[in-house]
Amino acid sequence: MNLEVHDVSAGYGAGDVLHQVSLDVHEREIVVMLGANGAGKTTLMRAISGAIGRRGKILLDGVDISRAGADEIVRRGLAQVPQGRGTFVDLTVEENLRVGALSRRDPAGVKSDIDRWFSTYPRLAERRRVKAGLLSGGEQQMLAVSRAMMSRPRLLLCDEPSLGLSPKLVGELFASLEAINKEWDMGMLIVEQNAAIALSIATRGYLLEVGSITRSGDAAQLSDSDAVRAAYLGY
Amino acid sequence: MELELFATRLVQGVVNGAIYGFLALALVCTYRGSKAINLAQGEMAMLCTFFAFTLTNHGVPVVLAIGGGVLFGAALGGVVERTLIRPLGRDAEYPVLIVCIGLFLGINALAGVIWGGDPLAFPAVVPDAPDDYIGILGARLRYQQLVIIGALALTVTALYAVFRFTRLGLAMRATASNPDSAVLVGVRVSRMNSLGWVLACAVGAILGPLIAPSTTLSTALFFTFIIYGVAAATLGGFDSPIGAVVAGLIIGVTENLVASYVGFIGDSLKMTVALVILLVVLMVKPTGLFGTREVERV
Repeated sequence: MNLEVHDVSAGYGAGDVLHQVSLDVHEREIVVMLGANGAGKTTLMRAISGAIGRRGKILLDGVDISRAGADEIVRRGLAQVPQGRGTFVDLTVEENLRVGALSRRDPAGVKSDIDRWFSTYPRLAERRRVKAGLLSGGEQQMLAVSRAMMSRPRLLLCDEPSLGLSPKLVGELFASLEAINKEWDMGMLIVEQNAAIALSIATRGYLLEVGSITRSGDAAQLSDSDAVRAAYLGY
Repeated sequence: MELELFATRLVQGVVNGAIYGFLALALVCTYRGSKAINLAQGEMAMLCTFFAFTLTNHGVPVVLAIGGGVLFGAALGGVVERTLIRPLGRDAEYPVLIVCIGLFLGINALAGVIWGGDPLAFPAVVPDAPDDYIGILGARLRYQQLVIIGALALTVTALYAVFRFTRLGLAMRATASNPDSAVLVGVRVSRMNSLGWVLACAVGAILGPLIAPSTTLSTALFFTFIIYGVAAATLGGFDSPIGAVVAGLIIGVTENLVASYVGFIGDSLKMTVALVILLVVLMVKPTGLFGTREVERV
């Protein structure tokens, strides 16, 4: 699924946080959006998924979704792994997965997808009847990814998935995202501060600074650029 | 004789407790939908009862009139949420509280203007003559009281089933648990909030007409009940339908037994008993008896 974002501005109340941001994610491609705290990464994610109002044009496979509500955008095949994991803490692990599939109308398919994610992440299967708030950070991140996948999306937005995870878990998580990208032929837009690991699985990337895109290019190009190296790679 | 007295007080406690639990159930529905505590819940139920009363006055059979009142209540809940609550935005606890107090006063005054201040006789749904009762160990459980208990059992079972086993219920629980995240999986959060109010007011509209035959119908119908209802909902933990009902029964039974067996309390300090139970439970277990503790590892 193709995502095109043209000149999108968005914010909360008084002023804009995003200023005419444009980007695109092609079919099956992993694109990373680098940016520091407060650059507007989460606002961009929320603008694309329709959780907040926005101006400009957003196209999903050529269809303009810039005025569509969040529910319609989910049904069109876009899912989001929100920042902080968005766990439904007082629902069980299994119920969290079922919530992820609320936009679907095929109970049998939902059931087999739940089993599929339980076999991908056996740790979640063991704890299927446990309240999701009791899971560890890493388990909640697995849950967030599988919950987003339960809507059978064709494009996945991930908002700082590495936040609060140990280096080992971050490695596992990104390996898992890469596997999903291959197995499901699915495009991904990953917002990250952990540039090294994000660039290692991405094909292209953008740099978001104070609400505007200041740089874009191939993952390799970006890793070599001085600005990215100084700010995000630390060498 | 001793046993008969005890049984009488127990039955009275259970009946009162059922009423408290019923009202608490309505409060829980609103809370689950939008984390609001609707202090005007009793007044909205009172308005529905007057509506049903007017229907019976026009020759509508009482059961159908109650059904009409429930539909009226559902509509009322939806309209109130859409016009008065939703515009306040999210995380507007205090503004919602103030609006509910305003609603309380406004609805009470409105009902007074339309139907007057004199108590009205509301027809019972079952025969309600002095000898229409079942004897339990010498205590009398009136048919109408039995109807209240039965209606409560049905309502709480139905609500439990909806919350537990349907997609809609799952969506409502997800909304209550994490509205931001619910938006992102495609749940229409504002619709879920409305639905909480619709359900709550429908539940209240079942209760009002069932208690009105014994209390008589006036604008003061829910004045004391709402205090007990809030107490029961708090004791039950505010997000558990079954907790609300059990807490209502605990309060009803305890206050009746204590009031009759502890000499200095009597009828005049009865409500204090309920509030003391509440205070003690909240000190020991702040989430109420059945509330979900905020479980979160960080």
